[in-house]
Amino acid sequence: MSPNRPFAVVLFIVSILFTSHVSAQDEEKNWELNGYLKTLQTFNFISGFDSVLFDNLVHNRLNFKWYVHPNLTIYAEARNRLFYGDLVRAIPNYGDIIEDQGSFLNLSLNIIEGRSMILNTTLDRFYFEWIKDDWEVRLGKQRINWGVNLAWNPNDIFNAYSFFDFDYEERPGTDGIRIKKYYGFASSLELASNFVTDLDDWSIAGLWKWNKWNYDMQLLAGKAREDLVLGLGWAGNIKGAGFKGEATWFKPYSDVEENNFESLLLSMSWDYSFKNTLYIHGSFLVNTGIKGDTESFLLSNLNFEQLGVKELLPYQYSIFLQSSFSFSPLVSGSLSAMTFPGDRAIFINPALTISLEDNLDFDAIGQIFHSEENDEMGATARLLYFRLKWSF
Amino acid sequence: MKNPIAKIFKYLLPSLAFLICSKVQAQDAYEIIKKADDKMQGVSSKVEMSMTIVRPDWSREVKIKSWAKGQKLSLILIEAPARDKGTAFLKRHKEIWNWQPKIDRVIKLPPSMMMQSWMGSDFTNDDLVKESSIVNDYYQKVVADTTIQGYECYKIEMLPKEDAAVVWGKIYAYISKADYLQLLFKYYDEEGYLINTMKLSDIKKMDDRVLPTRLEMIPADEEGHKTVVQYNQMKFNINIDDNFFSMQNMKRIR
Repeated sequence: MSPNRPFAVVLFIVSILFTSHVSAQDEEKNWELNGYLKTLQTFNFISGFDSVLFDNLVHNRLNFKWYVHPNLTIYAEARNRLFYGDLVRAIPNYGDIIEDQGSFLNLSLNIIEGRSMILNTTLDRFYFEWIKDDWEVRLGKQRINWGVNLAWNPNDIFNAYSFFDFDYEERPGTDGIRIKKYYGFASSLELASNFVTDLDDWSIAGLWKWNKWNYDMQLLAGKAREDLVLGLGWAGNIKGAGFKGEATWFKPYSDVEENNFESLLLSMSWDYSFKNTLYIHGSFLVNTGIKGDTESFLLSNLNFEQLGVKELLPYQYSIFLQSSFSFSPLVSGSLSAMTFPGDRAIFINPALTISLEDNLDFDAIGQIFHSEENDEMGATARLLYFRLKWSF
Repeated sequence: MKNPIAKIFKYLLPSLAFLICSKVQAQDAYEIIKKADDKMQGVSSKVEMSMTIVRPDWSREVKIKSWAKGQKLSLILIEAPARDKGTAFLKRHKEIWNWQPKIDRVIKLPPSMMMQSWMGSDFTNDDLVKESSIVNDYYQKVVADTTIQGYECYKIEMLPKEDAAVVWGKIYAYISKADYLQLLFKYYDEEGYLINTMKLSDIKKMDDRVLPTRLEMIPADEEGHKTVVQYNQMKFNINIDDNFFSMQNMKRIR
């Protein structure tokens, strides 16, 4: 039994108790609790097989905020997930993949680990926030978001997230400290560091943000894992369309090892909304140093949380096109496609969202991935998801 | 009144005004709209409201808190539905940002998003952050007297100025004569077709003034559709610094 287990069990019980009291909140309280309950059904159509793998995920999230003092807030956010289905049964170490073991503060626990069912509870945010005038200090398990671009964020060196992991809308966090000082309405200086036991995992960097000529701009410098990093980002507009971008240069500080490489990541995006709610967005990403292979990428689909921003996609060139449209205030659809021109691979992602009630949403999502790179058969993944989400 | 220049203003200007009475008519309409508009806005304000989108077989409600200073600065915080709670919008001059607390992220919004419907309602983003102004972007003219909800009203025609970035071809505004209450607006497109009707009612005292607290935006060609805004709390001319409208505060406000 890991030392965190009693803690996690208590947390889980407290979470459930809190959920049942949500409706009893009053106006003057110094805490807030909200979250959601969702179910996700996955149909995995494996190429070469006639059968379909069926998996289910019941997922409860609790976001708790405690305003301890005018200057101090404590945040604790938990995700309780129950997995069951064919994939859970088929992959022997599925439980290990689910349980987050990479982070410094290990607050993840598999409460039940059966042959075809896993119940996991994870505290993915747990931090103290101290605010005084223009100063802000956050300590603990938090999300340090440095990205300003759409789709791809080379500047997001602390906690990369993958577009494919759509069900994790909060995105992974980092154990660390972030000190921020604001100047004026849009300028700030930040210093952030993660907590690690191994020097090669250590990231520490500074970020300077400012606003000029109606553009948000930023520069960053520091160390991210085994690389020295230098980055810049911007967000502005050209003739009514959004124009954003980010670039980061990763330079290994020791001799280049087999599993590390120097690379420049550059991404830019344009988006536009038409009056009839049609929204279009185009992005590209260049990753000069990557030499990944699709097969291991497909397997890594199961767990993105271990990946750095440099390794999110195994391709040098990626293009992303997205469009969405509201058929009514209750029904909206989107169609996204990612292509990797150098590697003859494509990812297609249609989605439909329906608002069933004020706090109840239904999604139908497809993910189709096809690559012709590896062998004559090619690698194909086809997934269909149905999701029901109740927010409170 | 010792100052001779002040004397000129006091006595000479009214007589000049008499001479150019055709201008007075336009000036009056401008003043009426301005007074009516000031009443709803104030130099600065804090508002708590709910917005309900009504359709023939369903409805959805959004609750927001908003702060504004003049036309250029505003901050909107979403309180409901639960899914969007804590999301905020900041507008400074022509720039708009959206705060997504769950991913700790500020997204700069493209200007084209302004003309989109706001959260699926019959209001556009522009209506909400008041990009265009009924005072400055239109030529106003009193065209008739009429009675609305028992109040004697001016009927004012508003035509957009040539260089104004506005969506409407023409607006009729109905303003009460006694208290400059906005009671009815009719919005026409450039071809002269009625597109939207806004009815204002539930006249109540809010903070230091009496004004309509319920707005209904009704699209002309869609039976059973409307969006209802109910003001629950309004405070005007609050002491609020320009720095209140910052990235920092967008994240902290509650």
